[in-house]
Amino acid sequence: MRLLFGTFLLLFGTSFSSWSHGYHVSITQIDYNEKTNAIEIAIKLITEDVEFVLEEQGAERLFLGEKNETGKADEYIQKYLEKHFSVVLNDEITTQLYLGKEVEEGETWCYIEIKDVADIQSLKVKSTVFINEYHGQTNRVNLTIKGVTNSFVLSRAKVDDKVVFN
Amino acid sequence: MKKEFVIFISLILILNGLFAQEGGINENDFRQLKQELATPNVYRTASGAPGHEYYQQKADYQISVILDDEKQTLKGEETITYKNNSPDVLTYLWVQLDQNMRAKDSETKAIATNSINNGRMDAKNLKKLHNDFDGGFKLDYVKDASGADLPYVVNKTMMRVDLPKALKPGASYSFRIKWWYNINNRIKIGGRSGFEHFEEGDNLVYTIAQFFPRMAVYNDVEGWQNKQFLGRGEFTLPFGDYKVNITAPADHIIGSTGTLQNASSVLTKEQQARLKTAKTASEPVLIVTQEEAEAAEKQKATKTKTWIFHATNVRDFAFASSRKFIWDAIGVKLDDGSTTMAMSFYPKEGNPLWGQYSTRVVAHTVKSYSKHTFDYPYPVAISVHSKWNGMEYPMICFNYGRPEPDGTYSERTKNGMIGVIIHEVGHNFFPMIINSDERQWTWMDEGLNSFVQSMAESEWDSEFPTRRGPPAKIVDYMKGDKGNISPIMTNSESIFQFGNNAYGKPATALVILRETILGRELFDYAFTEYCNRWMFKHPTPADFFRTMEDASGTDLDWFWRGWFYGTEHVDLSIDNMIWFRLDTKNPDVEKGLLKTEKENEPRFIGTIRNDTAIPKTEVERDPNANDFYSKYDPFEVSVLDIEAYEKYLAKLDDEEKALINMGYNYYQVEFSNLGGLPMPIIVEFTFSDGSKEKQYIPAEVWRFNAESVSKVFVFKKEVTIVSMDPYLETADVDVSNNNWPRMIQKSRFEVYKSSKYGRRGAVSETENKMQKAKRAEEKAAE
Repeated sequence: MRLLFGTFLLLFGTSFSSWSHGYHVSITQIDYNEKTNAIEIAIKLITEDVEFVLEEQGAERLFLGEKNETGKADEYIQKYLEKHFSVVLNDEITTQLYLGKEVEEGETWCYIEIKDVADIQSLKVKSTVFINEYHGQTNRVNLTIKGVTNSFVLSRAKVDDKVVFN
Repeated sequence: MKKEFVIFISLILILNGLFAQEGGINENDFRQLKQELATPNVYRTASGAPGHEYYQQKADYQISVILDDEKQTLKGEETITYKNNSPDVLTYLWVQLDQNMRAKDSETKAIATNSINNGRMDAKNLKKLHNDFDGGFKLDYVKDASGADLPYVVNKTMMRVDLPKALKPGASYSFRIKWWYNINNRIKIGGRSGFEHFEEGDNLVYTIAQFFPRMAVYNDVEGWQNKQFLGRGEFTLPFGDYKVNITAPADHIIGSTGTLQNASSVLTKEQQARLKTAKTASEPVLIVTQEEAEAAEKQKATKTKTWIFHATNVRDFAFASSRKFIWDAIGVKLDDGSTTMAMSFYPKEGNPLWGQYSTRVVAHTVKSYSKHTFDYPYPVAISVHSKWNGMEYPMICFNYGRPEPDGTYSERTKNGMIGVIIHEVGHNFFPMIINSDERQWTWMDEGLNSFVQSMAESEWDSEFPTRRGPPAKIVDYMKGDKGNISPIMTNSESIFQFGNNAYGKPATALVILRETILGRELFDYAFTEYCNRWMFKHPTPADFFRTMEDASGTDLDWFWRGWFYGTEHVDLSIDNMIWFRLDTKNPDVEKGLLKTEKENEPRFIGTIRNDTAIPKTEVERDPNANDFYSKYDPFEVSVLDIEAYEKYLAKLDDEEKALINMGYNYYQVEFSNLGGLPMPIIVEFTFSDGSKEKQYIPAEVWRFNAESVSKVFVFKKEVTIVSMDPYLETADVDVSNNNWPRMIQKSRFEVYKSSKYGRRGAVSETENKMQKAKRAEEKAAE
């Protein structure tokens, strides 16, 4: 009971202000490139959220996208994503290659590639990105594989979802 | 047993009735909004203006509060005088107790759904978990004017005061409330208002709002708007006049809604003189300098001072108080001849950013919004520096944007600060003056305000990175899973993806309406008309929709339906283009054309190889193998052909003859609407000589067939490329199908990878430009 009360308070700290984006959402685009046999992933995060969360977890000030961005920014982001974002392909854990990020007008795009993907029978995406920090965090995933578009919404209530190709 | 049977039968009949209707329901995207909008009446007209019997209630306040800096509490007493302008008899009044949202029994906590992820929680969350802040209003009494106790019932964030005698139309009633509450630490537990603690000097900056019991709105659309305050749906408040006494430590500087009444007893002579200078100055003038504020920080007054503020025709009241405040101001002259004071209050931690920008941005916002709506009618417009939040009240707002301790700041911090000040000062217009119901419709103030904000930002700096307004910015949101998107016309508390829904999408819709559907001239007139009609009144969504249509002379029901009542996105596609030329029937022209066509036809590979493999065919070698058909040229023009053509010409008049000889090209372009949201088709044709032409087909082209349409375009020149939406004005989510012939669109990932990791090149330097310049300066001085 006491534990529950605490998570309620958490909501107060983060989702209040009228303008300074009281909403928390990420969008991930996953495409399968048949020419290169690679899965290409672009994750769009709100830069303020990336900084808030990573700095809360002990990272130095990041200054993402600024001229004085810390040299370790990519390392922090990569580590965070390794822990909180994963793709399971044909029921096997994949090796995700973090390529880098771009910061644009308040948004940070992170790029991940999964190489040597010969065939896709099933694809499961698990995302716990920012769900511990923001009560209302939703992580939307759009997949375009073999010409078919699927879309799912992950949140604290449902951290993973799977598409099966026949 | 028998009874159940009867019920079953009647159920079937009802269901049959429903099914029978289904086929007859009009589901056309262009059907009128009659069923969605309230029926016009004497209070609100069909044209969207206030009706001849429009009324609104009035609530006047006399408030005295004491800010206790040691205990961080606020104690208050108020007299509310409520005027019943409605035609209805009221037996009770509803009063809002917003601070109760932070009370221990708050419903906000009860209805929040949550779970502890994997049973893990970090130290910071654990700390929050053990926070037992005792928030909420503690009511000492509720009495009538003579001092007799009034019966009241507190229902969480709402209080019902039962009137001893019913309040008749036209009558007024005064009653008194005494209360106190603990002020929350805004940084630790959040909130729109509260205090921030500064380690250095152990000082506080208070930004105080929702600090007194406030009247709820009673009107013709909601009755009493007494929907609980759950934290997100903001405030719905009646207009009134305020007389407020604020008692605070004697060394505090106070910025507040309203006009200061006792400057001579709370300000020094010098401060009063500076304030006077500021009124006509061309640059912001410091009323309290940084040095003076730093001196004040070093000691704490034991005495108190009472500041008196009066405000006329406002819907709320807020203030900020601290001994840390630097204060600057400048007079802004408006077209109607009045002067408003643009002012800022900020601790030294806000400098150098705040000293340079805040007041200038306030002045710009007041001028820019006045141009798009009406002249700002209040005497002051204030921006207070308040870390991490942006929150608006009449004449005063609290804004973020703090530089680094070394005085440098990132470009994002600067633009964030300028953007938030424009936004929050802009809220004076929506909803402080154009007083919509925030508890019900967040978009009516946030969406309209974000729209005008985008114009004010462009007027501040043409390169300003406006986040909400440009159509391409809303695409990622709109193309998403519709299960996670609500229509804009959804109650404030039930919206998924709040920021995009209530700020971004309506702002974008208005940008599209202005730039693409109506054009600036029609739009600006109608929008300004809406603002003036509902200035100091309470509009509803229908009043906005109707005014925009009535004043622009355009049926926009389809637009409101698609953008405000639906969740579909825009995805128009060019599926095909077929080229036709007119048959001139002139044998000289047509046969020539046919001949060229025939010659240009693709040839089978075997035939091409035979050209060389067979030096001479039998027919070529032996003249006796030839006859009439061997030599017959189907493209040769005969006398008979010419005669037929002359006969044909004789039947045509001169105009028809001219048209045929012009040699026009006819292009049939086939479009489909894949997204579902109908939008105008904007196509640009590129011709073989490189020139271009843009054509605009109104959205009504989809009225008979919502899925696909075809359209014929006529040009003298030959078309090489057709592109749809070339200036990114419709929020089309998939631009890969916007060209004919198709063009390959690279994904974001591909662009990133092909530009060798980063389209802007390497960004990581170890210091920002301001820091680098500073270091260079220091080195030079050595």
